[in-house]
Amino acid sequence: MTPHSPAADAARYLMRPAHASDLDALERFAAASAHGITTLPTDRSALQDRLARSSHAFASADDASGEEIYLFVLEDTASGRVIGTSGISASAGFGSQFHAYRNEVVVHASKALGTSNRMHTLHLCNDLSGASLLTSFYIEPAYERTLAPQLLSRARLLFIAEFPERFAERVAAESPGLADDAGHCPFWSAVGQRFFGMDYPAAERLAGGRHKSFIAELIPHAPIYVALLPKAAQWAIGQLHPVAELPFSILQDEGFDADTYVDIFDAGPIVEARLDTLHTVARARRARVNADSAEPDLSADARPLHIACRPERHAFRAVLTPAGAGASGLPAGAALRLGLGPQDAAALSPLSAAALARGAAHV
Amino acid sequence: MFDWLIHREPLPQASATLQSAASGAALATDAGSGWRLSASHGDAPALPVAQLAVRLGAGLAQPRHWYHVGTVVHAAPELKLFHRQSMLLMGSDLTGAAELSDLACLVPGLPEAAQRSALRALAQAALRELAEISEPDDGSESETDTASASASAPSPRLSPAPARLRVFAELPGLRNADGQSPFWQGLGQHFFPYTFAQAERRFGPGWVNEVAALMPRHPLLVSFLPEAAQAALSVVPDSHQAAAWALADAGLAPGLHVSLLDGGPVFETSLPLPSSGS
Repeated sequence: MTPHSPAADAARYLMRPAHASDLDALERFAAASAHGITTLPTDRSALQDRLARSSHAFASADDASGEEIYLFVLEDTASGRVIGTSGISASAGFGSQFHAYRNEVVVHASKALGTSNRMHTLHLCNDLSGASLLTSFYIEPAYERTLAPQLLSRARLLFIAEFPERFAERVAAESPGLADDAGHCPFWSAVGQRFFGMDYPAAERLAGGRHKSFIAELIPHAPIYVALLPKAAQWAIGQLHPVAELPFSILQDEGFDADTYVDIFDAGPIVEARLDTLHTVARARRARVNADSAEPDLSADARPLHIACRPERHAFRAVLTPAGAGASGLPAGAALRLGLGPQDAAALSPLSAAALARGAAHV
Repeated sequence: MFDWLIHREPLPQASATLQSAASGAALATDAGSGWRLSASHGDAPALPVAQLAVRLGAGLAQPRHWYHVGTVVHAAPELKLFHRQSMLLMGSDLTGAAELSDLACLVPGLPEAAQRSALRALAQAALRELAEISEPDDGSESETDTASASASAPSPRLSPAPARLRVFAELPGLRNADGQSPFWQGLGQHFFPYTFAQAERRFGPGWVNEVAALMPRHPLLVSFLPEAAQAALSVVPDSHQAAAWALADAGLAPGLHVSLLDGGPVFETSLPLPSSGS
């Protein structure tokens, strides 16, 4: 096996539901993330709760309520280590509202003066309440330019597509906005701080707990005229924190819209899309194991790389594999890694060209 | 100490036109019906020292706009939060009211006490006259009045408010050392990118009647404005302290409205309508 071929590199990654035994890894990821980069709590017992809720969501025979969260981890099977995590919240703002600012343009015009003026406004809205949210993305820095983050982010979409009764047709994801190293955020300084009189880190500590929607409800419902904000705050609207560039680029490549919504705290972009329009979901198909293909030499395999997943909730797995066209395109090696037998079907979806380009590096 | 003679003359039906830059259409800006009062000293009755104009039915011929200054409170005991803020909302609240405008002293160097006294005499006279003419003319508002009223001559149409006639006076807002309005710079100019002088040159004096179409229609938190604009809100400039004093002494007080353009204070009061009173 050529050690550094993309396909060989790709085969080492396995995505699966997080287990209680992944607590140490999750705690490490939560501590490594800067302000607000993941939605993982840094508190160990809170993480433990999160894991328990996730295990229940993956395993429970009950009908979904929308309260479920699903946490995945990514293993590097070559080293046996957990190297990243990602998650899904079934229903944004469950039991309450999910708040966002919607970008709108108001055109003020006077026929008498023969003039008009386009005004950018932000409207507090609950449009995304009930959408399924992609959350908690983290990949170890050493793996950022491999295919690992591509698998870790995109396979979530296949999971959602496999269980439509548990998710919304609309999917959204928050990304952190601009903030300096101390966690101070120009948008918050210009907007939120006027209402709450506390800086962003302090507000975030509250928001991390049960106060998130509570704080949102205190924000005035009148639209904000962007032109009246300080320049630094105007500039921050819809701007991404540099550390989130990778997960954001993956979502953009999937086809998410990033122009409509921003976060009410830091004005980071909130992407959203209909699930069935996204690259990985729109191209997904069912395939059975191809008994002839034992995946003997991945480096020589010219077939395109796919995400393959085992379409079960509790036993969900996702891997990367070359795959052929047709209904029997799943190589036996991938089936083995997914734990599938000869008669089982997998969901397959090709990686986009951008995913391959971004993941060309190897560890 | 001062003895003022009040002269009354009808207000010419001013009809400024505004040439629209785009269409060339001419727009009439009807100043409404009213009269002018001037005050002169008994020693020199032919020399008016101060004047004001009374105009009826503000905003009926041509819509007028002001900001209503309201209060919003964000309170969350759990977070020990209690924030009280002012909020501006554009509207035409004073439509139909009577307006005292053009308050001015006509004699340079008139002592402050004389200015105040003359302007107060004018404001008091205006309120007296408004009280006299504010009797309704169409009978619809005078159910309690069984016998006599209907024979009187028609008087100008007044406020739609049934019980009281609202009276207001808009004073100019604060200017900075450059003669610019900090309130306009911090708010209006974001929506209509001209100084007052530039707008006047480009659009003619009628621009002030049209500019509301370009101004913010959503409520605005005052705390979102630059500090200089906040500090100018509803502040009487030194040049109009005498007028403010005179209005206040005549019974008008700064209310909940400010000028749409420069944030100047609007002094307000209301007069009982005789038919609905006692």
